Amino acid sequence: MAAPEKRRPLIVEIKRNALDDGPGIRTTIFFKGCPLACTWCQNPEGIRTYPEIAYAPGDCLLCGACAAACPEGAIDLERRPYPVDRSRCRRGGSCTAHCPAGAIRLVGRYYSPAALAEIVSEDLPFYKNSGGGVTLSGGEPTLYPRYQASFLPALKFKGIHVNLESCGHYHRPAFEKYIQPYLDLVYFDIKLIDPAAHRRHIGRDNRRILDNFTALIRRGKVPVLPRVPLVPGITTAAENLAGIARFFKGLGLKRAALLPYNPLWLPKVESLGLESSYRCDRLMTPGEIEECASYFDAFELEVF
Amino acid sequence: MIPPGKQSGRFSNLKAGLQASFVLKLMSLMFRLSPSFRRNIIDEEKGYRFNARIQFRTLDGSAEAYAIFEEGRMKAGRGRIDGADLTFNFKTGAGLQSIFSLSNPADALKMMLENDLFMEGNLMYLAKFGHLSKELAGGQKKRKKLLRLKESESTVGVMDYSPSARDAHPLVHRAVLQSTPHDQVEVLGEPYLGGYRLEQFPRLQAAREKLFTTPAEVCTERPHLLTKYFLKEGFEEDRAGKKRHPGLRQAEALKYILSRRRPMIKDDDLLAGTTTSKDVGVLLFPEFGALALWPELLTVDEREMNPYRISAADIDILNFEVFPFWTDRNVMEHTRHKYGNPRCQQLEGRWVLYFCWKAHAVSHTIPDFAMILQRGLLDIIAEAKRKEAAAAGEEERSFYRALQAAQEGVLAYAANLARRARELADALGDDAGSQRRRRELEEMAAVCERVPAYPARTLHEAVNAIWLCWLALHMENMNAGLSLGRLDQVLQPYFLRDAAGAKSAAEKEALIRRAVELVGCFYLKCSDHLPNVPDLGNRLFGGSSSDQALTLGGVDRGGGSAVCDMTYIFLKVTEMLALREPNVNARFYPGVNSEEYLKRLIEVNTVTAATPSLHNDAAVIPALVEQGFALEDARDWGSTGCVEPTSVGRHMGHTNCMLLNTVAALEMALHDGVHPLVAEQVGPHTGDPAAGGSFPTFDDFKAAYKEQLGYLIDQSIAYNDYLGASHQELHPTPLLSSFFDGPMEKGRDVIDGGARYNTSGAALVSITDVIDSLTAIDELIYREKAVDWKTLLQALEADFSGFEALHARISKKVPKFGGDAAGPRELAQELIDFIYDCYQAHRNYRGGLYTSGFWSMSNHVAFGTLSGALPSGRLKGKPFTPGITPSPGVTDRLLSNIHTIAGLDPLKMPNNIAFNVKVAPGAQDSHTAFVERVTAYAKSYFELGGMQMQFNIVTTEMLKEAVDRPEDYRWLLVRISGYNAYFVELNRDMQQELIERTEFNLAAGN
Repeated sequence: MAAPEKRRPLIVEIKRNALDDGPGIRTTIFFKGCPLACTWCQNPEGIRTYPEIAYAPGDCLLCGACAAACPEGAIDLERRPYPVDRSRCRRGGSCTAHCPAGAIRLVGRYYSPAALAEIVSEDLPFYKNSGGGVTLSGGEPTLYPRYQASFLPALKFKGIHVNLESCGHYHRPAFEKYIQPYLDLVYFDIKLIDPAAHRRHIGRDNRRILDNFTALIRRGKVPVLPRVPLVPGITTAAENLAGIARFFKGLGLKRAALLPYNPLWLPKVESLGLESSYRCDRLMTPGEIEECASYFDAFELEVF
Repeated sequence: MIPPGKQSGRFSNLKAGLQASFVLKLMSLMFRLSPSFRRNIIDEEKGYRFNARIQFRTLDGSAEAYAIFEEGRMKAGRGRIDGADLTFNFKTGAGLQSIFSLSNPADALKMMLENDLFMEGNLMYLAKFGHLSKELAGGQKKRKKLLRLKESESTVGVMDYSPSARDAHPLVHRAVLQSTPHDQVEVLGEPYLGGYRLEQFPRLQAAREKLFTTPAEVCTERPHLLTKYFLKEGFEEDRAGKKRHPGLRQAEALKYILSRRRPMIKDDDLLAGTTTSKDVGVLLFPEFGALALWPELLTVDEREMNPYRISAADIDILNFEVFPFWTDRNVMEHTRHKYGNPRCQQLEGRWVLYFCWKAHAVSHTIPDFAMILQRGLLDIIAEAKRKEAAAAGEEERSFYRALQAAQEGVLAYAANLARRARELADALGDDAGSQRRRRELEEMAAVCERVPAYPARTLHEAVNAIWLCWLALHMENMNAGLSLGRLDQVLQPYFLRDAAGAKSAAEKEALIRRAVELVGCFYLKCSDHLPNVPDLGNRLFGGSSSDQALTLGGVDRGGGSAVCDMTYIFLKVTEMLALREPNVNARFYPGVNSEEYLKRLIEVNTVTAATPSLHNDAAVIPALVEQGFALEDARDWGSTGCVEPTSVGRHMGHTNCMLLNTVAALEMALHDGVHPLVAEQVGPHTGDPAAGGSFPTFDDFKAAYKEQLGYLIDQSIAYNDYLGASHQELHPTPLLSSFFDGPMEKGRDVIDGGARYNTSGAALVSITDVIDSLTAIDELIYREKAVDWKTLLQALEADFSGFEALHARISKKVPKFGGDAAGPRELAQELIDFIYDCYQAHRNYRGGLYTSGFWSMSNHVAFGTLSGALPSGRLKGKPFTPGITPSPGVTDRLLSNIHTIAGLDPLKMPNNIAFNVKVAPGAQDSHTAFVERVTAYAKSYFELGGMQMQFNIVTTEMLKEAVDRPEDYRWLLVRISGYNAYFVELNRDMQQELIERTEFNLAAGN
C-alpha cells in the first residue's frame, strides 16, 4: 500500500444515481482540487484543494443567523452577491451549522478510502443491473494517486466498473502505478491543441496532457473515450477543432465525444464569491454543434 | 346596537332557527298540497309509511328545529323533540342556516366531511331528507326535463362525450421491443407480440372508442329485481311468517335476479352477457351504500365530477320502490341499530379517522376460476346436493341448498343468453358481414349451452365461463375490489389445447389473434360497469373504478417460473387497450423469472403510462408464509382490489376492510387526545405537549403517539367486527362460497369463516407524514433544542405563517424518509412493527388474523385536505403522501427512494404496500434505452427486497395540460395508490397531488 499524500483529498460531492458520467447507473465522486484553471471551468468548486463556503441567495431567508455565529465577523448579508469576506473567513463552518435554510454551506469533506468504498458499494445492484459503476471526477481525481491506490482496489474486489474523468495533467509514473490498473474506462478531455492558447486560457502548457494521452492510447491497457469540451469563442475555433481531429486521427482513433457548452456553471462561480474572465450565458444551437462536428467528420472520426 | 362579535352569534342563531322552521313548514305544506310529493312519505298501495323524527340543532343548543313525519303527515317547528331517529348537530348557527337556504342550500355531506356537521342516528333518513329537499326545490321540473330528452341527448355536462371529442390513443411511445421464447412460453414465437397493433383489431378498437364516448348511466335492473323479490317473498320472514335462513334467502334472491335479467349480447361482442343493462352502467347495491345516491337522484346527471345519466323512470323506481325498502336493512344501519350506535361507529362517521369498507362490500377476494373451468357448475351443484343429503342439521342443509340455488341462477342466465344468441343469429340476413356475425352468434350460443354448466374445453369456453361467473358474482357482491386472480395461469392449459390442434402456422397465428380478441373483449366488459360513487365519494375515492385486480406471472405452486404464453397475451391486451379495468398487477421473482419478462412489464408501463403495477414474489411469498400459509398456497397469490395479496380461491381476506389515517393519531397526540377537526376528545389523555414537561424525552412523545394510534386501530377493528357480524346476518354470499375452496367441506359460508384461510386486511394511510413529523420533533425539540414545544405548536396553529425560518429548517435540514439518513428509516420500521403487532393481536369475526399494509387508494388526499399543518412542514389542507411513498422533494434521486422502501421488512407488511414512482419519459432517450434503464431500477429494487412498485410514466407538463384541456386527455391513465384512474376524472386536489409528486428524470443528458 502506498504512503498517503501530504494533503488529504476533499470531496465536493458524491453524486449517486448519476446517468451522465459513463454507462448505466453510476455514482460519481467529485474530488476537490485541479492542476488546471480553465476560465470556463464547469465545476469551479472543484478547483481549490481546500474547503470553501458556498452561498445560495435564492435559499437565504436573510435571518442573520450565519453572521451572528461567525467568530471572525466575516459575514455581512448586505454584501452582494457573496456575503463572506474570503480574506477573513477561516472556514470553521459555524455559519453553515446555524443556517436554517441550508443557504450557506461548506464545500469539501474528507472521507477515508474505506468509508468512501462503503458508501459507493450501497448501490451495487443498480450498477450490476444497468451496466453502471463508479466514476471518478472532479476537480482532478489523479491529483491523489496514493489515496486512489487505497480506495480503488476495494471497488475492483467487488467487481465495480470504474470510469475516470480526467483533464490529463497528471504525473504519469504515479498514475500508471496507482490508478490505471483499477480503471475500466477513461474519459480524457482534450481542450486546446495549441500550446500558447492552452497557456492563455488554462494557465499551463499542454505538453504533458498530450503526452499522457498518447501514452494511454499507445499502451492500450484501458479503453479511452476522448472528449472535447466545446466552449464558444475558445475551443470552438476552426483551427483548434481541426488540430484536435488531426491529433486523434494520427493516433488511429475512431470516435470522440463532443461536450457542448452549458452555462449552468456561472451561478456556481458567484456562489463561491469568485469572478470569472470568461462569460457566455447561453446554450449552443444545434447548428453550432453541427458545425463543430464537421471538423471531425473530415477526419473520419465518429463524434456524438 | 349590538356590539360586533358579542351578541351577533346569538342573533344569527335565532335567525337560523327561524329559517329552518320556515323551510320545514313550507315542506310540510307541500306534502299537504301535492299528492305526488306526498307519495314520498305515504304510499297506500305498497303500505309504505315514512315515520321519522328528525332534529336539527346547534351543538350548544342555541338554535333548534324539528320535523316529525307520521302517517303521511309532516309536522315542523322550532324547539326540541324526544326520541329523534336522526339528529343534525351543527357546529354553528350559520351552518344550520346554510342548509336551509332556499336559493343555494349547502351540501350536508360536505359539511359532515369537514366536521361542520355531525349526525346521530340513521344516515339513510338523512339521504331521504336530502332527496325530499331537492324534490321540493324542483323535482317535477327535473322529471319533465328528463322526459323531454331524446335518447341521444344527455344532460351530462362538463366532459364532452360527443364522438368528435378527441380520443387519440395515448401512446407517446409505441411498443417496439421483440423477444424470443423464454420461461414457460411454448406457442408464441415472439412473446412480446411486438407486431400487433390495436388497428388490426377493429372489434376491440370500436368497443374501446365507445367506452370513452359513452356517459355512464345508473342501472336499476339489479336493485329493482332484488327489491321486488323481497317484497314478494319477504326478507326477515317468508310469506308464512317463518324466519328465513340468511344464506338461502340470499341465494334465492340471486337466482331470481339472474333468471329474470335481460340476457344481452352487445354488438360485435364475442362474450355473451353483461353486468348491467346499459352500455356503461352504474351498479347499485341498496343493501350496502347505494342509498347515498338518494339525495342526488335529481342532480347526479348534472354534478361536476363523474356525472351519471339517469332516467325519470329510474328515479322513481329507486325513490319509491328500492330505497325505502332498504332504509333499515343495509349493513351500516343494521349495525348501528343492533349495537346501539357504538363509539367505534360514531368515530368512523367523522370521516377523518378511519374508513371501514365493510359497510359497502366484502368483495376484496378472488374466486377459484380454475376449479370452475375444470369441474363445471353441475358437478359442484351435485356435490352440494350430496352434502345436503348427508348433512346433520337444518342449518347445514340450508347452507348446501343455498350453494345449489345460487349456481342454478347462473345456469338459468346462461341458458337465457344461449336462447338470445340464437334469436339474434336467426334475425340476421344473408350478406357476408351478417353471415360472419351469425356464425359468431351461433358459436356463442353453443358456448353458453356448454359453460359454465360443464367443464370448459376451449379458450373461448373458458373465457366466457369466467365472464359469466364473474358477472354473476357481481349480482351478489358489490363491484368494489372483487378480483380475478391469475387468469394467465388459469387459461394457459386451454390456450395450449387449442394450439395443439392448429395444423399450420397460419392456423396458429389465427389462434393467437383470437386469444387477443377474447381477452380484449373480457377487458372491455370489465370496464363497462362502474361502482356507484356518491359525490362525497368523488372526494374520498376519486376516479376509482371497481378495482378488479388481475394478476400475471410470478412463480407456480412448485416455485418454477409461471410466465407463459397467456401472460404475454394479457400484457399485449393491457398495452393496446390501456384501460383502467382490470387493474393489472404483475409478479416478478428475481432469479426465477427472466429479465426479458421484466423488460416487457416496463415497456407496457411506458406505453400505457401507468400499468401494470409490479410485485416482488421474493418478498410477498415469505410475508404470506409468515401469516400461516402453506408455501404452495403462498406462491399461488393474486392481487386483490389494489395491491393486497390473497391466496387465490381459498383465502377470504377482505383485504381492504379499513383505511386508517395514521396522521390523525399524531394530531391527537399533539392535543392530548383531542382531534382538532373533530373538536372533541377522541383518544385517551396522553399529555398536553403545550404544558411544559409533559414529554421529557422524545421516546415519551413517541409512546403517546403509539397509544393514540393503538386506540384508533382498536376502534376500527371493533367496528369492522360488528360490520362483519351484520354481514353474517344480512348478506351471506352463497355464490362466492360455491366458487371457493373450503365452504363445501366446512359447511359454512365464506362470511362465516368457511374459506381455508381467513384474514382481514387494513391499509395504513400516509405513515410517511408521521415518520417525517416525528423525526422533525425529535431533531428540533429534543436533539438540537432549536425550538420548544410551545413554539412548534404555535407554528402549526399558524400554518407556519410567521415561522418561515422554522419551516425552512424543517424542509432543508431535518432528515426525511426517502433520503439517505438512517434515522427516519429506523423509525419507519419501528412504527411498522408496532402497527403489525397491534393488528396481529386481534382475531376477526371469522377467526382470522388482521394484516397491515401501507397503501392509501386516494384517501391520502381526502384525509390530507381535512388535516392541519404538521411538524414535517406539510401545510394545512395539503394532501398527504400516497401509500408509503416518500414525500415529494425529499430527494431527486430515485435510487435513494428505492433504498429506503426496499429496506423495509416485508414480513411486517403482509397486506402489501404501494410505492409510487413518477418518471418522466426522456425526450432524448430511445424507447429501448429508456425501457432498459427503468428495468435496471426495478430489478435492483426487487433484488434489494422491495415488495411493490408502481409507475406513472408521464411528464408533469402533460398532467398540467390535462387539467386545462381535459377533453384532449380523456384516455390519460394514472396510478393513484394501488389502483388506476383516468386523470380527468379526478378531483382537483388529487390532480394537484399527482402533479406535485417528485418527477424522477431518468434520461441521460438531463
